[in-house]
Amino acid sequence: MPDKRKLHFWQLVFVFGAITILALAANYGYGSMKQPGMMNDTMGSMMGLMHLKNITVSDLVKQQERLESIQGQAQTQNHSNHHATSGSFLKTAHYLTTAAVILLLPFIIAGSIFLAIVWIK
Amino acid sequence: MKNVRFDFIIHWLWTIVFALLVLSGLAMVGAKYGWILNYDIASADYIHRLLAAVYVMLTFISVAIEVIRGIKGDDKKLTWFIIGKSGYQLFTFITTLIFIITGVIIWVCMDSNIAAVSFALYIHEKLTYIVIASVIWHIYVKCHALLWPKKTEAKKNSMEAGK
Repeated sequence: MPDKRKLHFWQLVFVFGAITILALAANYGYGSMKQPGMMNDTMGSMMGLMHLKNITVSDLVKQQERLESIQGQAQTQNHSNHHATSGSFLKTAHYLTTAAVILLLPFIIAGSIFLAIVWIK
Repeated sequence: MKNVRFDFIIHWLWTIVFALLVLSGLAMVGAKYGWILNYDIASADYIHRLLAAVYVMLTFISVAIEVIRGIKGDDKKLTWFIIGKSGYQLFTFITTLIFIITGVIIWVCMDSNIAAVSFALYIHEKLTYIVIASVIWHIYVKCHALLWPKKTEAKKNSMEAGK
């Protein structure tokens, strides 16, 4: 006998299940045409396979080789040129969101340390 | 409307932002889940970045409120609040911090340290699956909260208040 109090949960499961099946049906065959073999994996797993196999802890904190950083700069330049063409709204949104995230992070970490001390007491 | 509490509003704001972050994030994860946003990775990226800033702001507000409560010595449990010192609130707090820290590493180090980005991306993605599973469990456990208060009770309360 199903629990009556959990009826709303199963209603949600049904609604979201139906939406998922409809979305999958609408896209049927579209993705498989576009993806090459390797793209079947998720991004995290691909990055893990390609870059995390032989790294050490020091690799996580040090900057990459000079040559790579020069290449990176060139890429960044191309990147920014590309973004310059796509309008100022995105640029403004990028600066605002980056500033919000970077500026608030130290306060969040400080607050978390404070809460850890208060809660453990 | 008078009875709507601040922790209730933050809870549902958080829910909406997190749901959209999950959808846009999964769409970027790879071809496996690209169908969520019709393989429009560029839009998923913009949505994810904009909402990440909102997510960080909501976290900041929640942490600030808890810090103020901590300073005042207020021990009253806010049942709808997203962070707290025990149970699912504590789980949400810890996972949120990991999401934000790994997210910032991905955001900032993208062009300078591929090892750090890979490490952060791996954790960010795998943690997403754990949190999605936990959210489904959370909805199952707390689904009685989705019941709308009965009209008769609401009427009774308002009549009692009017007396």
